[in-house]
Amino acid sequence: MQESQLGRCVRWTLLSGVALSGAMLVLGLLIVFLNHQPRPEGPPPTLPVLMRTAVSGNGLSILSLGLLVLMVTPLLRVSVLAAGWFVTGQRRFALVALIVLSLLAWSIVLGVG
Amino acid sequence: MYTSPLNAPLVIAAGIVTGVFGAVLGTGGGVFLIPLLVLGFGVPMHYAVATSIISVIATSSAVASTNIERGMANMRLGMVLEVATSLGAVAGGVSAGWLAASVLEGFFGLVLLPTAWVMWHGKQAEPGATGGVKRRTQPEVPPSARDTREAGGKLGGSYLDESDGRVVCYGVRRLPAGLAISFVAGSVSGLLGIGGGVFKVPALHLLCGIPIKASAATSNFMIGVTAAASAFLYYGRGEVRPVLTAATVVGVVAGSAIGAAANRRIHGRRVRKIFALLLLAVAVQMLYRAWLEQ
Repeated sequence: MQESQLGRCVRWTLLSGVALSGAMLVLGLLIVFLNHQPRPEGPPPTLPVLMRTAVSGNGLSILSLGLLVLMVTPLLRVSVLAAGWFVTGQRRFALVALIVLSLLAWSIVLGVG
Repeated sequence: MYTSPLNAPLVIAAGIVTGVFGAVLGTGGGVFLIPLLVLGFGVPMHYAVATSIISVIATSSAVASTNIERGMANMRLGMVLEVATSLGAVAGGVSAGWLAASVLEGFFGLVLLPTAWVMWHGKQAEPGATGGVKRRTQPEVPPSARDTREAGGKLGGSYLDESDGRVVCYGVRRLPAGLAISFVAGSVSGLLGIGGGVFKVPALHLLCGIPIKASAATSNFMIGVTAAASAFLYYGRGEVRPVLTAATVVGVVAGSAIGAAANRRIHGRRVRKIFALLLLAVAVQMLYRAWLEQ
């Protein structure tokens, strides 16, 4: 894999994440405002609950999933770079990317774990 | 409420306005978005910070993809510095959960002061900026990995400066200083929901010797990961309000696209000075509000 190919993979990952989350956010906003859904305060529902209710057309759950897709997009970008650098033999940079991934995983555990 | 169906279009409009300003002025939109949400819509400070962090992820991801395509963002250097920014962002995000809104507002007001100073003096990516060595070539494609390796060590880089058709090669000096500034920028980002480019871009340029365009692109490349490192902390505390955040993100992304297109036709110097004064006024108002709440 060449550097330009790796750059394309990273670019594709970022654009896909933004596009998917953007579509979910617009859809979720439309459903929330058409149905006048209430907006409860407090901690968010768990991921399985969000996915189950989103499939049944709950606008708030679709919004939350869209936001989670957006938040995960940078993690995917770091994962793609870690894999790409590992494959091209740049082990030192792959290791640095894994350190960044572990910091992000630590943040997820602290936040929603 | 600030996310009722009636004022949701206003929140989207606020997002568009901050996205346009952010793109035209070369700053993250957070410095405009947070005061607008807090002072204009009465959104609690912690919710405004969380909203801004998610917006930063969206704009950074969209802009970084373009910078990667042009070869402007130095991905290796960015990843190394992301270790420091992510660590700082987690520290900032955890600290924000312990601090009162008035403390965050006061600190935000203080951070706006150097932001206004940087905007007034206009340290933005400009054609022909110093910090790298230019080779006169007429390449038809962005520089290759070989160009990058030749440029200056494992962390150095090169890019095609489209303004004059030359390849700019550069190395990286004083990496520990860059890491230290990145940690500070990450902490401020996690605490206040702004990108932190106001600290990173001048530091990468002046301390590490990276050309200003590559500094700005690399800083933007890092901002998404930095914001994600603290976003999950805000999400877990229930401070990411889905409707408010979604409406803002949709507006900011649309505004950034409009601002990026308009940026080619706008001569930013006078606009930047006007907004520097505006930021100064907002800083004073945020500090005054924090003082009243104390």
